[in-house]
Amino acid sequence: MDPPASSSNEEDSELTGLDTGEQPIVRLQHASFEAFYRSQRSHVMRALALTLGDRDLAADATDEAMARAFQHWRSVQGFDNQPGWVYRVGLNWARSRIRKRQREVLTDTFPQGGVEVRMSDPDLDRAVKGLPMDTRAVVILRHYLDWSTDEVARALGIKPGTVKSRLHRAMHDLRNELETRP
Amino acid sequence: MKIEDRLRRQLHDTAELVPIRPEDYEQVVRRGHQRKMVTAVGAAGASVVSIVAVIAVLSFNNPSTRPVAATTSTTFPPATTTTVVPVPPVVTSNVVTAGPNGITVRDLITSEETDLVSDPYYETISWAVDDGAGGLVFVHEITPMPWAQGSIMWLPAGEKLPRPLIAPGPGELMVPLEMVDGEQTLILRYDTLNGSEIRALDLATSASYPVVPATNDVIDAAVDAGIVVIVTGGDCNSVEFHFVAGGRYEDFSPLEGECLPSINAVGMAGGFLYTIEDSTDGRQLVVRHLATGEPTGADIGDAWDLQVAADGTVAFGGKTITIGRFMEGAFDPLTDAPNSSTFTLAGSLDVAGASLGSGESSLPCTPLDRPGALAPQDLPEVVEATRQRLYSLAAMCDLEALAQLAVADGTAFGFGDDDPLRSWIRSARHGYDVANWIVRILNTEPAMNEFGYAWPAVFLTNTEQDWEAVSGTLTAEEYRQAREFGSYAFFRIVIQADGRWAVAIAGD
Repeated sequence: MDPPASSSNEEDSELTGLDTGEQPIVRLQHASFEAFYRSQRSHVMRALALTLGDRDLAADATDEAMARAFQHWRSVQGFDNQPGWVYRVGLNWARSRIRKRQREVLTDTFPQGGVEVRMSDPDLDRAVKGLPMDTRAVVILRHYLDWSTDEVARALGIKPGTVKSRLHRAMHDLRNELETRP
Repeated sequence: MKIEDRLRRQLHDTAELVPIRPEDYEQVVRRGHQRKMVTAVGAAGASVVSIVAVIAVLSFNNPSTRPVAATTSTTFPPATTTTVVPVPPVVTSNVVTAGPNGITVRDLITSEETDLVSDPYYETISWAVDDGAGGLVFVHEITPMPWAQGSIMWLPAGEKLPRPLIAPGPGELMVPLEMVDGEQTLILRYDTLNGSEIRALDLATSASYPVVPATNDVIDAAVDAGIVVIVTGGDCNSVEFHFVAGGRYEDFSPLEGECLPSINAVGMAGGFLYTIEDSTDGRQLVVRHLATGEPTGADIGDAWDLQVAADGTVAFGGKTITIGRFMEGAFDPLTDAPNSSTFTLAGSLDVAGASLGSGESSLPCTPLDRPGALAPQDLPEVVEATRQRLYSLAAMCDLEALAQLAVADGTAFGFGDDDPLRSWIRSARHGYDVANWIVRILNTEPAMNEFGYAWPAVFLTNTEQDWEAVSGTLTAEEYRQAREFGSYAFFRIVIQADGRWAVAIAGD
């Protein structure tokens, strides 16, 4: 069986340049993306830093995801939760990087090479970093960005029920971990 | 302090300290352009290929290749047999959506909609699936009284009221996934403290048994032709196949054991595995031949959920719910439906005019400790009046009136919720009764600071004397936890000097 054809690239004919020769619609799209970038970048970067526990990886992931958001801006700007899309793309990109590093250097220690992000509460920090990445992402979006269950579900592309289930398990694991510490 | 509050505070404090790398907008835009150019060149060089629709008949129904799993039950599951009677798949004719206003059944041909609603306070439906025989199986976000919280409900065809089938224990969750074709057997996901178990539930008897033992990191599961597939997460997504009757089917497909990309949802029908996956450039609906593992896929934008009916109809949710089929080389969208967080494909349904609730929409309220009169305290008149009013409303379990007062006074009642009544009902159904707490603590002495009067006093003072005063109000376990924590972080009330009810909150 053959793979499917690539998706349409009709966006390419619209976003044609950075500085000159742009059509009005292109300029509008650039302005729209720039406003999005300026207002959301720091939130996404901080959320990724908390999720990944690695400040540098989070910064790289955010920039990479923002570049992809620009690439697909015509589609992305129509999404209900644009920062959620960028967060998810950034998280997936970072996970690929982590896996690549793990293949290159056989280590599963946390963090994966950059400057570590640490909470001032060491027990909670350890407990949160002990959660699986998927679960940690749900926890950060719900409790740091204060997104609703539906918003978290759409951002991560999972069912609301899965969000609830992961949160439920995360809180149970955190409670357990914190209670068993002397 | 509640773990959620401790976590929230730490996350916000930590995030504030994360230095943000200076913006380089131009660099981001340049990289975006480069990516677009690379994509454009790649697309020009690629030939347009078609997806060949193959309806593969695997060894599902071949007795010689289908091992029989052992089971200890004599009644359910039914005695295992290698003979599977082929059942014509239900023809998909409706899409069912569940949400804040109940359940909507939408006819895919006429677009006519039938709305089913629950009782007041209990409108939101979390999950719903077709029972395969004209009825529905569903779960309320907050289950109406008198049923146990989290009950899986069944509304059989032609009936007007649902009946409870099974309920999870405290702190547990049950999610209906899919019916076994041609049987009254529901496959459900059961989240416990030991992980997620996949169970089969007989609708007629409510008997259930485990199909897949408790596993961590279960992402999704689906069932087709007597086989359950589960997707597990972690660093590497993988699939496992199990018989509905119990027991793993290890030689079923070459896909088992493969390290698959990030999977968000799974469906299975007609010899194909359907998944929603993330690739580096976006989200795809991927279809894999179960016998060969050969994949093909279609770009589906920002969809997150997937349903595949036994007749091969596929639905995925994004901006809208898109419904179609893989036909002669590509995904062929037939129709769409308004977006909803939860949706399922269904055959013909006979549920018009039915209620999703019990008809007894009473509010949850546990018996109170001290239902007698509240002794007056030496307080300003308006403060004492509010105290007495709160006490009498709570003693009568009048959560509606308490909520009206909280809204009028702008009372802080919780984190991340804007409806006190809904928040308190949810809490009560999970064993935390606000009315009971109000009655308990308004019997204690208050303390005063510049914001007003707070009950219990120990919340503000943290003195041994006030700890002693509250020791008879808290249970022994609550008292132990509070002392261990070092300060009082349970439920407390603050009434301002002008009589406004300012705070009714627990946690930090």
